[in-house]
Amino acid sequence: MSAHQSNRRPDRRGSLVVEAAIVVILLATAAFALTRLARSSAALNRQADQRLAATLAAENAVDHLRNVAADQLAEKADQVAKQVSESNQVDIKVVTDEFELNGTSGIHVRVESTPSEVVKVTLHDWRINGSDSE
Amino acid sequence: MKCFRPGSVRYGLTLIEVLGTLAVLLVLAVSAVHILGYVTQIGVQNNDSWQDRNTVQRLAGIFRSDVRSAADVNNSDDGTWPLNLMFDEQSDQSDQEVLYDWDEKTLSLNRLVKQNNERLAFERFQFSNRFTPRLEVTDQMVTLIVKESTDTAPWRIEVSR
Repeated sequence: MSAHQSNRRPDRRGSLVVEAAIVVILLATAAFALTRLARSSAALNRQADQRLAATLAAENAVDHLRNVAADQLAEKADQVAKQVSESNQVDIKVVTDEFELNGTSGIHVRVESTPSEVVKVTLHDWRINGSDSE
Repeated sequence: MKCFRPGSVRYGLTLIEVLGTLAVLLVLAVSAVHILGYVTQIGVQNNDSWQDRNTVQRLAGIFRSDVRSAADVNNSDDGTWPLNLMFDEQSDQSDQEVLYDWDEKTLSLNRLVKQNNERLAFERFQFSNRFTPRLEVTDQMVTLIVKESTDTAPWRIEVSR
């Protein structure tokens, strides 16, 4: 390099490459962050959709169980769970257990709805001495 | 051609430097606009989905209550809209009639309450995405299928009669 060129640009040699590299890094970082945002957003949306589907399916199961007599709840629980699971494409599990508290007895119905591994919705229903209560 | 003497200081920018700087700024501006548009699009989609879920939850509660207390359910055999619910004198909505109808143009499910052919109330369940709710009515059950998707479970509202 001649003396006069070094006088013209004494401190700027290679600065264009550095600036270009910085721009590329900034753009790549923004693109990467945006891709992750889009992915996580889509995953959260899908999870919320599954949660709503699970809630509706559990409410459907509770609605079906309301038409079952209290003394037949235990034996019809699996049948209702299977029926709702097939129609709603959600894994439904119905658990019934008798309870007695402060002189009040009844049946506690627990409906678990699991459309995927990360989403699980549980609803409870109680039958107290022949009357219905949710 | 103008020459610089050794030891002299050069002021200003060459045309190539100006053009290079403008090109870099242009690339940055275009990228920023694209990124901003993409982020806005994600936000709009999230908001639409959130509103749809809220609407379906609100609809589910009212629809279940209506069908449970209805004395008679009238619907065409092929399950098309509208759905007509009649109430008798013993229910809370005595002598009322509730009509659910899907409006394809506005993408909304409308609920109209009538008594003696007079409009008492009107409610609109607005959907933002391209849903096509459909009905399945049997003697034992009324089913409103709001959304059917291949990748997630359907949104079904089943009410026993």
